[in-house]
Amino acid sequence: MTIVKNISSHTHALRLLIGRELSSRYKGTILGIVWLFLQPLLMVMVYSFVFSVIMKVRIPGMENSYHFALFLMAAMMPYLAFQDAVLAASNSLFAGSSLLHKSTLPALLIPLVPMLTTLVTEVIAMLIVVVATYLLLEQISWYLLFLPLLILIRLCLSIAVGYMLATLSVFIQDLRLALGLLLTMLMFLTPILYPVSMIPVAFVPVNNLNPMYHLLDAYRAVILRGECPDIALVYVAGFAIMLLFLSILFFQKTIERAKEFV
Amino acid sequence: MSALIATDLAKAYRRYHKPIDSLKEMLFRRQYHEKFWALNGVSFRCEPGEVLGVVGDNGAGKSSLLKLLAGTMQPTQGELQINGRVSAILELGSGFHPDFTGLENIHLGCAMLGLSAEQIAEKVDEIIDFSELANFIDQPVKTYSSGMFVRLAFSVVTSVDPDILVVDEALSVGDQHFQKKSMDRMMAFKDQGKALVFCSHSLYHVKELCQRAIWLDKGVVRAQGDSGDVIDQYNDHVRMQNQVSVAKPVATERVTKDNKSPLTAYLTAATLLDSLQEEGGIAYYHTGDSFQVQVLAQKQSSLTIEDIHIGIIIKRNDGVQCFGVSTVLDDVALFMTGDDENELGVVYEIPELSLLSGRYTLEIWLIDTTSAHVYDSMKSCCEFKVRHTGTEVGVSYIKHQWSAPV
Repeated sequence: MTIVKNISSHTHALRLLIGRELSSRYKGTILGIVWLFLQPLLMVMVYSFVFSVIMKVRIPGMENSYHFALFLMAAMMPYLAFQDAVLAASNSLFAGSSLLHKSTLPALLIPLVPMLTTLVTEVIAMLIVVVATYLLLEQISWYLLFLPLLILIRLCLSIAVGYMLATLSVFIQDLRLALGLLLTMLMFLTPILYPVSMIPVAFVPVNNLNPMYHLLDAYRAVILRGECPDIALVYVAGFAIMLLFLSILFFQKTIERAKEFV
Repeated sequence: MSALIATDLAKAYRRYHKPIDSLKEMLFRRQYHEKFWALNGVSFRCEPGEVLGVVGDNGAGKSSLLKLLAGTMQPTQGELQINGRVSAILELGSGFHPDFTGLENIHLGCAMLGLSAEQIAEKVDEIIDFSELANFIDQPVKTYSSGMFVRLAFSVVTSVDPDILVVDEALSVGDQHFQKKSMDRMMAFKDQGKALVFCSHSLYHVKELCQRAIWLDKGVVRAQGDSGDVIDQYNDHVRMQNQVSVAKPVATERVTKDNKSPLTAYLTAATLLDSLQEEGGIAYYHTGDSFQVQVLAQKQSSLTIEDIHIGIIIKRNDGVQCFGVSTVLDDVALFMTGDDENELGVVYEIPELSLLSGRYTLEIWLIDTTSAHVYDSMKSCCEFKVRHTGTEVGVSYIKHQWSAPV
């Protein structure tokens, strides 16, 4: 309860810090905030060109030539947001060490700032993917109303993992090096670049345990297939919330110790 | 209700070989660290409308204490009760983002102190006004000079209407004009019944501004109370460290000479008369008291009483010679103290001691009429302490007067 009160009394600071995080990324650039839209847009264009025009990748059941590119983007964008959030969180105490030591800002807010920032980039990216899907595949459905919920669950999961790694990577600095690798591994092991149907039967049960798979598949369901998300989404949400509680607890227990090393 | 109550406050820094040891310690409940106590058993109060000074050498724990008060660090032991909103300037521009403009940093700084957007909007103009940075407010603060930085920081921190203001020596960076302005603002705070904790190496400022002071030494409170008393004690300590080469004061004034044969005359005793005694056994005077010291000597019968003179130098504990004079200079003869014509003595009296606060010793010389030949000497004896009530500075109170210009 005190945690909630602590954060809510600093909402304005949080907003300013997120604004600062975003604008510092584009500070000094000519296009400025346009980059927020340009980055995902260019990625969609490049992926579409490479996979649909040059490589002509066709997956059974996806007839349209742009299908694979959008199939990729619908899962890749949320995953990248997750990856950004987790990487930023693991670095946040180092980057925010002066805030940590010299201000009375609750420590909980320090990793939260870059993680919440990914919300902005993800929402913009998903808008572009949804619009592109409508334009290129003429696919749109009411199930898109699930999208905000999916984004929320994605954020929950990122924050849960992020808080855990924020202090842990202070104690075990090797983690900061290993994390990039681990996240790339997770990306390849989760069916993002390939459809789940390509996974060998023996590995299907393992894949079914991967909450990231169910979450990303739900994105594809509502954007590309116009379907209701699978009931497994409940498992993902439950997992994310459980983990979130545990990791906030872990963060609060370890932050005073972590402070001594950054 | 006190604004601040610290009870037995302590802060230990834990030193680990590797960061992971801290995590292991938490999980396995085994100690992996060495402790360093930056503060130990610190207790004090600060009332609303009071300015509390904190003095001490580098590394005495001042910054740690201020961080605890500001809430950026948690005490290891003890209790800190804070009644009201604390606002602090610790290190220069804490929490400022170098790439952001002065204005952006004002917003951010206020927001981090818990103000809402509307509250900030109301205060922005006043903050810019006070900082006198209107021309630079849209520049990134990384282009600011350290003086500009501190002006901005002070303006932000004091504009949020704190109940307790904690100020580190950061202020000394500002120019004279801004220092004056910030002092005035701090005094206005005091008059509004807010509590101030002020830490500075400028002892004059602490004595002037603070009613009470704490002297921290190696993490413990060496003295606290009326700021004049505390600063005088701290000054004694500082001068002691600054001394060039002053012999340790001799504990007993009665010096027995083992080898008297080469001397034709020697000092037997030097005693302060009618002095107040402090608990530590050290003689204690107020500026303006009368000061008397009796010096006794013994001569061999080959010398006449006219051949023997006494010189006395008053030295402060940092080695400064405050005043020295001799019976030769003043053309005074020693007195016989008893039936034995070889026992001599004199009482040196200063009717109104004009020395200011400090610790002093006497240097006593037994010399001949030419002042060149030394029979005997006591280099550092009759240690005494002087205290004055005002905030005059210097070695000695010099009589003076002020009058209309001619």
